[in-house]
Amino acid sequence: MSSPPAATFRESNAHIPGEEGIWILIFGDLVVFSLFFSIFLYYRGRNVELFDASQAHLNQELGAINTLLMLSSSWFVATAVQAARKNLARLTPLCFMMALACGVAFGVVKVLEYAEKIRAGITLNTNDFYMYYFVFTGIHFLHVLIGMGVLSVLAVYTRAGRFDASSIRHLETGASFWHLVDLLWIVLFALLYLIK
Amino acid sequence: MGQGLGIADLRYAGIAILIVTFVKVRFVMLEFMELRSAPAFMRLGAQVWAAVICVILIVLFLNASH
Repeated sequence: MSSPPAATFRESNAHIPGEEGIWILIFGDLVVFSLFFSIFLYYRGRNVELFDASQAHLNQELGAINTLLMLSSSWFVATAVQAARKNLARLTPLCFMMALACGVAFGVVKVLEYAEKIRAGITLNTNDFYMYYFVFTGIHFLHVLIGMGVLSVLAVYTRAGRFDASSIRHLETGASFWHLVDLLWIVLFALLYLIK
Repeated sequence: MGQGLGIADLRYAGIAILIVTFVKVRFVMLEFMELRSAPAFMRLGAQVWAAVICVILIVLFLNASH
């Protein structure tokens, strides 16, 4: 019992980032969103003209800006975790704050985009395309809000510096969730804004 | 005049967009989510999911009746 057998070394060297529970949540979210993505393309296939005509009214620039914001935000979070591992007490909370700022900017752009649509009389009830647009981006936006809460907590939590294994595990848990939010947006952007 | 994309071009473009999208997804999972150094079932599971959902979406996309 004193030392593990050599054969298990490789696998024990593998590392699950964060708490295991977060991966169950991520897995569940991926399953649900896989269903969303498939439903969207299935119904698009039955009414391509309507979906393409509706998509033409989406603001691709705003969608692209948000994609850039999400990717930058995710990069800041990944950098923050790396910085914590190197015990960089100043850089870690700074990166979380930059990530949070990108998240806030994403939220502002999204609200502007929704406002633009609603002013033009486009709502959830306009047609199937916009029903999916508002529901899917809305559920994603809920994830962004939760993630921003997590990033705020991590930015404050890391200000004390001195990162041990358990605190890094907490950071990895929050980071993994935020990367999921990024990942889901990448696919939503392609489906809703890009493919014709 | 006459420089508009045909349906075939749009289909190729759509397939390319979906493939690039899931290459990005794979990058986010392996590098940002750090699954590259995770146990094999997670590392491979994530990539199998990305490949399968990418193929499903391409099939559904091509199934559109113009």
